[in-house]
Amino acid sequence: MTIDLTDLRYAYARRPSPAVQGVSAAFKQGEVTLLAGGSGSGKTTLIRCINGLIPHTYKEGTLSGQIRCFGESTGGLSLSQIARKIGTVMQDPEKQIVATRVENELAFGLENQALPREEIRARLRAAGRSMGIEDLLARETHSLSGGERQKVVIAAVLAMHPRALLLDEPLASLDPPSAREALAQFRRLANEGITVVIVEHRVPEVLGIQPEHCVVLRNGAVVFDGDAKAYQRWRGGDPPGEPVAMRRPKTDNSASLLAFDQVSFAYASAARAQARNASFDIRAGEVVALIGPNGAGKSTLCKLAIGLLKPAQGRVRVVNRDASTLTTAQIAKDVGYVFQLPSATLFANTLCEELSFGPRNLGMAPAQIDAAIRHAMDLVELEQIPLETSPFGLSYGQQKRVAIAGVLAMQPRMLILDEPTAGLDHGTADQMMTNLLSADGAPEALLIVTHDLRLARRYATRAIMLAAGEVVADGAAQAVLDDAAAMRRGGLL
Amino acid sequence: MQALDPRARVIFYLCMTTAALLLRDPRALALLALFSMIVLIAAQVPWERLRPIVPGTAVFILVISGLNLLTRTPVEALQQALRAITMMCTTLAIVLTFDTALLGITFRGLGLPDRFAYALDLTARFVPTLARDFRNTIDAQKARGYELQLRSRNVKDLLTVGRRLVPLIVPVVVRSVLDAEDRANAMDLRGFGTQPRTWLQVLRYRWIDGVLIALSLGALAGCGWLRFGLGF
Repeated sequence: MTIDLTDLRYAYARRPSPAVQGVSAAFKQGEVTLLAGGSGSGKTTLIRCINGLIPHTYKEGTLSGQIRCFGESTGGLSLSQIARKIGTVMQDPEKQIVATRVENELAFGLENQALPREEIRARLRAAGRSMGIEDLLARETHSLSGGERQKVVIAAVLAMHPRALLLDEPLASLDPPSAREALAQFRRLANEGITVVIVEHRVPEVLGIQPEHCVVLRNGAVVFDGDAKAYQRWRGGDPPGEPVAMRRPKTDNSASLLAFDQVSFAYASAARAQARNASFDIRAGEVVALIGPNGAGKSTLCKLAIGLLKPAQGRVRVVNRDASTLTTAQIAKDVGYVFQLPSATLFANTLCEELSFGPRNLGMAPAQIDAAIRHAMDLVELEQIPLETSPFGLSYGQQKRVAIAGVLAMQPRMLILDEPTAGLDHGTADQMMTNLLSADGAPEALLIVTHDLRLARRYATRAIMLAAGEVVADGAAQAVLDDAAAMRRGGLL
Repeated sequence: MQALDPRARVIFYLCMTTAALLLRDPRALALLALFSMIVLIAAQVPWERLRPIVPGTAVFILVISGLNLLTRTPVEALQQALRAITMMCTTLAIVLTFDTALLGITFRGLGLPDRFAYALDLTARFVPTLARDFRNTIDAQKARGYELQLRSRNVKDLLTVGRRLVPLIVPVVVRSVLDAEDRANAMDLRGFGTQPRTWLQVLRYRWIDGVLIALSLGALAGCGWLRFGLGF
């Protein structure tokens, strides 16, 4: 066996229940293991135990059990000794990149091992070749796209010649083509003899590379351990793709909430336009998925919709008013926009203060704010959390829902959600989406920016596909997602 | 400028700023300011990079001089203006021509320990990230109806302005702190700080660097003599 875990237990200091309890599992050489489980099930903690961050960095908790790595107990190894055997790719590649230039990033771990420069250069070139990023070596790391960053991070770990690779949600920031490419690379690495452990919520995509081994955690304990076929039987397959109906379906005379008329826009520093003659109209009762590869211009369209950017050409209309004559605050009364990362918005000491921020900015009356906050908390399934709680003490998934509730409390007629399910397990994501679509007082229309085609298929009534700033497909969601030619045009196949 | 060893450029920069702080005589300071402008021109920084910085820099120099004019003598105001011009021109010439990938090895080469030298490298890496996070937070809060009003007339208003900035500053600070933990973990997982490290890039002094260092140190000594020996 490559990595053997025996009765592993870990409890963080000052937390009531252990994060990992009695985990025994074995990850073999040359195999891909899918490590699945809901948010907070202990996956990341287990990874930290294996790569040595627990107990070397997280020293305050209680660790017991045994981890053997290539026949050697990791208990007596230093973090750098473990790092030479086990490479780790963390969830957000942005946080893992420490150098200003790609070449230096690939060299970082090797420099720390004090290897000779000639060997460092040879290894970083080989790792770059292996990941197909030789042409990126001279690039500044902050200029890389999400997919490029992911490849650089993996190449930097591979340059250290690890025998095992731990990947913590490696697909989280990738569009479907980049995710497929990354998964193919993980499969290839396993075929070359590396032990690959993938922690991922996007289970169906990982199952596509036929992992030899699947482990599922729940509340820190193993609830399934077997091969992929047994796992699929145990899991019972994906829930049927029945779209969840919106409470108020679109009718012929539904009000137009957001309309783009031949809108073009380019950033001053960009080589090409991020929006090119974009035209569409979103009406009450619609759930629209805005899909497209990384860099297609999805976020730019959203910023144009809420007035953060002004079109160079064309016109954006919000509830039949020209958006160029309105401030973002005025538009926010009608169109709410939830950014992808909750950390971009949370600032207050209590949930009450956090959630009342938007309504107060809009000048809502105190009694109205109170009701709006409680309704928003219901919609995102956080009603059981006291309003005096600090948002910073919540889990990532809960913070994400607080950020959504913060915008819902402003009672916009339409809501734009940027990657609403990234970092959420399917159960939580499904419950939240169902509430947003079907509850009384929910927004009249949703625009969902997403890479998650399962989400688009399950909840959207319509899909707009962008590629290089241009609308390349616009129609019923099922039809667009099933249209192979359109998906290829949009770079999603 | 770009062809010079970065360590020699850092030494030159330190000598120039120290000389500007040492000298008091406006004639000597004027010469130093003129020389710093020649250095900035010789650095051949593209105007596109200077354009966004120049107005703010000019305002800063005017404010410094204006405050000195109000509270001190006109000669002292002139001294401060010339010092500010010298420091700004030299800083722009050095910073805007510096290859940030060489920041760590430069300071390691100047004798700083690995950890401190790499900390400077990390700073260069994360300044653009911090700026992007700040822009994102401004956009996200605007989408929640937030409007920044910075106009103020008195101290009470200034406190209000400070409070208005909380929704912008707290998310960026909290995120930076939390991200720092992840980044420290990422560095630990690649064996940082456990032993003396190799630096991929190699810096080698050439004769021209030696000349620059000698002239810089000589000029600084000369300025010291002018200030303390002749009272300039």
